[in-house]
Amino acid sequence: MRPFIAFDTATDHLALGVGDLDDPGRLLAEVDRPAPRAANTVLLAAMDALLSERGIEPADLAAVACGRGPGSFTGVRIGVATAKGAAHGGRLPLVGFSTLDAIAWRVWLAGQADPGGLIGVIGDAMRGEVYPALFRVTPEGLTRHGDYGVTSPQTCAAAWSSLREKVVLVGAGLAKHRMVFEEVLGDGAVVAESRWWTPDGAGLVAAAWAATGDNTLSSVAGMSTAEAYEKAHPGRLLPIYTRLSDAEEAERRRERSSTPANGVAGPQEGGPR
Amino acid sequence: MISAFITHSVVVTERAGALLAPLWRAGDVVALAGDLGAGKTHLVQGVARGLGVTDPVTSPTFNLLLVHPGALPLYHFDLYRLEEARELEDIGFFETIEADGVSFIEWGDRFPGVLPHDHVLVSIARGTDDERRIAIESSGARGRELARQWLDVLGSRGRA
Repeated sequence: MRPFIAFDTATDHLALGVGDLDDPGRLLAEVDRPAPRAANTVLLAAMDALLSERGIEPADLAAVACGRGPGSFTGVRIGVATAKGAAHGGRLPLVGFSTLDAIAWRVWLAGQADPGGLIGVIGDAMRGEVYPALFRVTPEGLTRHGDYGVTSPQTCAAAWSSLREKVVLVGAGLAKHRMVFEEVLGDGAVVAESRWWTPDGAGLVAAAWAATGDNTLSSVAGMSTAEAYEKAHPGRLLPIYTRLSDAEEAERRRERSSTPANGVAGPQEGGPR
Repeated sequence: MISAFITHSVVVTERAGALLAPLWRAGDVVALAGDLGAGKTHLVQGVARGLGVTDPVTSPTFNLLLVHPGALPLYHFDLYRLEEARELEDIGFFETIEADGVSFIEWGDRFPGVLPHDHVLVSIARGTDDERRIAIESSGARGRELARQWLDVLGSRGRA
């Protein structure tokens, strides 16, 4: 058994899970609870409590996995910074996954979506906007359609409505914008019970296993911890902000000719393009 | 809509804040403008008293945000020390003002375009001695409703 800890603080709901690098289907421990704007005070204590409960020492961990957002700007930074510290301190690989994927995986694991159907996750982006992500349920799991972004609820609802299919809707953005989706999607809107709107530990671990690209579990499959630390180095994991600050937007415009608009804020060198 | 009234002591400024208490709903936002010493904090102290806050309420100039538990949580911001609007993200500004309490934002007119559509802007201008001219400007349906209710309350009881 090689345990890894996964956590997410990008929403008002704190979630942690412990998986096993030697068994993708295994969930060793999990916990989730509301913690609005409190991630900085509760995350480390919650990690400690969860590991203790399962008799796992921090030194036993083989990797750290964290939610990269998109979500609360401060929440994402608290989670990613804590993950970088924990992984770097333990010389462990740091792998990431999207918070929206983790919520979709929770819905999938709970059997709340039909085979072949769609799951629409609506994150709350504040200021009247949402972070949407649309997933197709496949026999193997989930396939995400399109990239992460920020948009108005109306634009997102119209895009999903044009597919003329039922969409199982989850995510904290529904608390403010549910009516927009119900109006635009009509019978296509299948709003799940609110207990499925938040991430949980099982969803985090599943999303960590499913993620592809740099700094993911799949990128370090079969490696020793030391090799994996070099390959998925904690310094290289970047958050998914999608909404750049005004200053960053201005800088991006100045650099437009040479900088791809990848929707990922942060240093341009070393991160996923 | 802009309306104004004149007070002649900080006691009245505080009382004007306290009279607002029964009107609040989660997510309400009041921006405060006015020079140092104009009495922005006195107004918030009154609001705190009305909400049953027992903490001492001081200006959050250096803290940027002070949170006071009460009948509704009172989020008391002071943007004086921020240099750029993007720093608002660093202090969790947007997620806080859209949360479960009422927000009072000193120097709330510092960055254009960051206040929610629905808000009230209270500008306090110093007159002679202790005289203060308090102007109330509102935006959005909820902002207008709050401003109207506050002026109603002040009209009937505020000058006592």
